[in-house]
Amino acid sequence: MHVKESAGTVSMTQVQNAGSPHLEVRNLKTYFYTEDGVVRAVDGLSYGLAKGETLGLVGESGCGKSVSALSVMRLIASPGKIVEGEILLDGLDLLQCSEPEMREVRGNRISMIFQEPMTSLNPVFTIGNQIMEAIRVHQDVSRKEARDRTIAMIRRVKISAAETRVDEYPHQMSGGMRQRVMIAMALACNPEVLIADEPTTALDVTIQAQIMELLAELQSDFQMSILLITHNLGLVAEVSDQVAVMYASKVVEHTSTAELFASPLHPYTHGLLTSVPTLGMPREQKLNVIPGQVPNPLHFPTGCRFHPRCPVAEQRCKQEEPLLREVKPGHWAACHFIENGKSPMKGADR
Amino acid sequence: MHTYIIRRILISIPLLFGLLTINFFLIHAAPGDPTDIFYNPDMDPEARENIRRIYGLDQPLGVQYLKYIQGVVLKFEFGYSIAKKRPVKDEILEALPNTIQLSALALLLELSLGIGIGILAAVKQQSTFDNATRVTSLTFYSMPSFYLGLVLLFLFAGGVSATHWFPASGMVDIVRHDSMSTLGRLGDRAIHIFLPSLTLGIGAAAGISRYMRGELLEVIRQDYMRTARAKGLTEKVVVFKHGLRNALMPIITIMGLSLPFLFSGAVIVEQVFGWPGMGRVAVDAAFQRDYSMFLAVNLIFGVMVVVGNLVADILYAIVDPRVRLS
Repeated sequence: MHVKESAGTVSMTQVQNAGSPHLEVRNLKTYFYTEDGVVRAVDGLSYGLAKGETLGLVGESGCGKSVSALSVMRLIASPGKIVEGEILLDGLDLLQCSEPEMREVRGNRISMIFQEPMTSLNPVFTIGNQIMEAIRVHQDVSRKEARDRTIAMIRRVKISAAETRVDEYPHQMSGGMRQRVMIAMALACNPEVLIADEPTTALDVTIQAQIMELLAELQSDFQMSILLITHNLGLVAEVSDQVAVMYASKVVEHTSTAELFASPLHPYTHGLLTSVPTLGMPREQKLNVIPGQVPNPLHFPTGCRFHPRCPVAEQRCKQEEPLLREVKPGHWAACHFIENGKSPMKGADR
Repeated sequence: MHTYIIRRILISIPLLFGLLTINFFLIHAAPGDPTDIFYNPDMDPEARENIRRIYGLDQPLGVQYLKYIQGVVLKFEFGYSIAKKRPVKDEILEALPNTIQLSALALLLELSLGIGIGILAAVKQQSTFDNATRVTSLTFYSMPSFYLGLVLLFLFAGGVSATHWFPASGMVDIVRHDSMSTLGRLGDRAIHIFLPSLTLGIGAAAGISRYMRGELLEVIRQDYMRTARAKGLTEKVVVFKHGLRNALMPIITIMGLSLPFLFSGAVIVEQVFGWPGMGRVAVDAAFQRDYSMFLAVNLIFGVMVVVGNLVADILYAIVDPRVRLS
């Protein structure tokens, strides 16, 4: 493993297009020290999330998306450890915060909703109890007041009969309902940033749409920034303002959603987009497949981590890791062969 | 819930009836009979027959069975102990409270030590404390109670004079107890019950602590624990509020099942510490073929099993809202 230490390190002041980002992650490295070796789950990740905007963090399973989200919350458990980087929330470096200071941030300034609504709620407490808990830990309010706010919050996420549902247990609710409860819990203290880690993956398609609609509505009401973690490109296209594409624990491309879908510059992004079927595509046309497998985070390839699967890779890619650089105004990518804002892939501009 | 409890109790009646029936025929099939204790070689066979007739042992087994069941069902009478020469009920009413006292304290020790150590070991996983309790738990868990009892007797009840802190047997100091003050009597009882209840409870506590540790470690990995942390709760609230209640569920089941074992364990421990409880009564009844006494003792064990399970089910429903008893 001869990865250049400086590789992938980029100042996000360059990356952001308008003003300073509300949540900014710089060169984040989260490693897991296992018996088999060091798993570099997040390895030099950088992105910025502007106030009130939605950033889609996309990538295949196991590329480090969820770990990066948990790192922002500082909820990485042993043997995992955040070894390097900065996480700036409105200028405050969360990695320098003490644990009590961090608890003030969790659920209050940054909230998180998770992939599995079925198991993310505690089965032995009523949903009201669990939402109220979030309010009471951060705000000095009476039981009565907290309960009233809880009922209001449940109504806010469009669960009917909030007054009776507040005393129900998670097992009395469907997956979609539980995800609404999770959202109510996350937004109970009016956070500035919401991290949604695959919020709809475990849900039916119709429910997915409802949940995303609800999130969009609440986002404008609450004026919050959303970090949407997903592997679903369709979802990203619909709701994100910006997209960061992750591959092998790093961001390989970062730009606005419209720009990314119109002209993906990184060969990996290009591969991802052409592997999704589109309506009106000829039936005989085969979907593109990215050959090979996602690299093992125990042994990343040298140089550019995508080179073993890349159709345009050359000798240079095996030795030299490309930096994430601005290849075009407002468009960052990490590939040696992007010149004058043109993709090295043939027919990439769609 | 009430109808559930009533139904469970009703269901247990035929169960206990069956237990009584099987035990009745089993003990009668065993060689020897209760009159053996009156036997001496010079005895006239006719005199012996006479004794058998007095106790109704000459009648056909079926008739004896019907008479016995009739007494139990209609008059709640459990017969007459031939060996003790008094009604079975009197003997049991005297011994049972002593055993309940001992078992209850042992249960308290089992739960408080077991759960407490289990939680600490789980929270400080892989620490010195965790490793030390792992070894000691295994040691106590695999040690037979009579042996542990003897070791404790040796160490703290006379074998080592420097640590002779506890009396070796009995429930009270028979010489001085009556002349003591109320507080003094309480203290006297406490030092007498300490070693036997420790002997009885510590092995079970060792088992519970291992289960508790495992369960809590399992629960700590659950998604809802992460949710709780993401809310900004302190680790203490996360573990004790969100973790503990979920981790306790299997412990309740184990506790319900262990209740009868605690009782039968008391039988052995009582022998070691000269504790005047059901243990002595049970052993005597079996060896002396004291039919009525033997049956009553076994019925009590049967009731313990039924009650243990019922208590576990009820507690389970209280702790876990997903369980609805109906």
